[in-house]
Amino acid sequence: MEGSVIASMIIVLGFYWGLTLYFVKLALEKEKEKARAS
Amino acid sequence: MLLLSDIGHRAVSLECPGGKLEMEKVETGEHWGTRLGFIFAIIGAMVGSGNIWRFPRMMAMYGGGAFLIPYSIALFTVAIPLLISEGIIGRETGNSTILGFAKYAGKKYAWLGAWVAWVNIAIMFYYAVVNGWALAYFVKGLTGLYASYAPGKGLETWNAFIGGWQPLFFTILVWLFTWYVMAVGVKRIEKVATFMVPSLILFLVVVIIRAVTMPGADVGLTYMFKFDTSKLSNAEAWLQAYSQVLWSTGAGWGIYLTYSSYLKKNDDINLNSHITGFGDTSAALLGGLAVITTVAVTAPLIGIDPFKVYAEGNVGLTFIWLTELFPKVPAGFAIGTLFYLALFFAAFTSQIAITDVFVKNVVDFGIPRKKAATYVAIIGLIAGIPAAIKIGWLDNQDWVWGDALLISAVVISFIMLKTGLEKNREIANRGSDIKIGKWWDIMIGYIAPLSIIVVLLWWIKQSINWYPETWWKPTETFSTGTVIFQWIIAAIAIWIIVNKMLMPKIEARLAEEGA
Repeated sequence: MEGSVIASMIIVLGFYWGLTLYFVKLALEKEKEKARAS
Repeated sequence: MLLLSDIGHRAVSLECPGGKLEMEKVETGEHWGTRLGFIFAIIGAMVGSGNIWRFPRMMAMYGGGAFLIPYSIALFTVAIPLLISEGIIGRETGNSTILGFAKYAGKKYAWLGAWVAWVNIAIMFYYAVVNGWALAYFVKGLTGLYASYAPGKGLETWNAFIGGWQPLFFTILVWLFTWYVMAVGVKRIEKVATFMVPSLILFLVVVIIRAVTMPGADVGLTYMFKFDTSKLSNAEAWLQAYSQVLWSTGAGWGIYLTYSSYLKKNDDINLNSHITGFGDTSAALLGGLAVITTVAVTAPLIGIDPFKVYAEGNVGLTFIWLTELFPKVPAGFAIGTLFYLALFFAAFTSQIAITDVFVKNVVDFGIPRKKAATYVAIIGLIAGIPAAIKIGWLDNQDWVWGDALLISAVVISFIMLKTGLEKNREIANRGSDIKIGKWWDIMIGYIAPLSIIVVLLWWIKQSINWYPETWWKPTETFSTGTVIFQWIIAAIAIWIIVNKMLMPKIEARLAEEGA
């Protein structure tokens, strides 16, 4: 398999899965903060 | 963390654009139990069969990895702004589309909310049938369909299935399951999604691991991820990217609006909308990897070119070719069965979301949820019978109401523009974990509706090309005529029902809540 295909796969999957998991982590952290504050 | 789902009464003040709708919203009814539960439910709602059977083909046809450039632009310029808009209306009013539009923008817009609801309902009628297919193919897996290979088995199985009693039988089962979830409401939606969404992801990962560890997987990976930017100079790639984003993320459908109606006054809108858009695409990438690599490693084993299989339509690829190919995978019995279970989970979590738009609209008018769920399930089953027994009818309805979703998205943009972009942005930012800036005003007010109108006109132009002589005929399955004809009938009926029959009830509900 060409290196460019591997790079494309890593960028695409990394971008979408990375951001999805980051956003979910952020959401759960914010919920914890809100729970602590209330 | 949010509290467990509760039925409570809480008086809250509802901020409304332009100060026109200053009122005291009595927040009653159901709420999501946890933030994670809402996230699973909304991702489950948006991840449907289209993520598994359409996205990978679009990606492969329009530049591979490069397709994600127009797709991501469409996500930021259209889908996420629309999801935020739906979140605003849902959270602020606590209602689904009809009463939600009436409360938020004024009672004369209730019929537009009914249009959004109707498009979902029309899709619900046939989507339950597709859901039934996935369930049937899972059951066929359990009874050994993917255990042994026989040439032509895929087509033979499909023809016997689609022409017999099974589609109707499995549609009935889907409606029974849907009723079971809908009768209880948000608490059960959350439980089901919390189980099904992680399971779906796990099953797809298992299928992917099995396929990519077989010889020939690189052909599929190259097909899907090659980075061909030359395709991006073609306008079609951009139009397909925008179409895919709108159909896949469910932006503008009213689903996100309905699920947001179970949020509390200061719950997040903006971050959840981003999670929905990105989560949907992440799941689509997994679905694509599972399908494309499985075909790549198995098609050559029976002397078929994988590219011939990729070129098949949604149904041909999923229900004919994959059925034929799974027996060629080591442990194909388990892998094939797991794949169709994943497809069923994806479709079912979307089915309950689409159905909830209907049920919640009924509940909004004071009908108890269990009764509303029963009415909706009976109506859904009866109205779905033509799609269950005649695939041509299903294709026609998918074409007509799939396009109509674009109109629904424009309607949502219009409501935002009408009620004041800046004010709406302030409402969205209240309680949200990330704040949106003025970019949202530009996107939702101008870029999104213009882009959607261009996409819609392009699809209409395409359909004229498909039937150059008879494009105006309402009797052709995929013609422009059938779209326009059914839209006009639906719009007139909706306008009359809402403004002549339902309006006293809408006015009474608005008066009850002081709007």
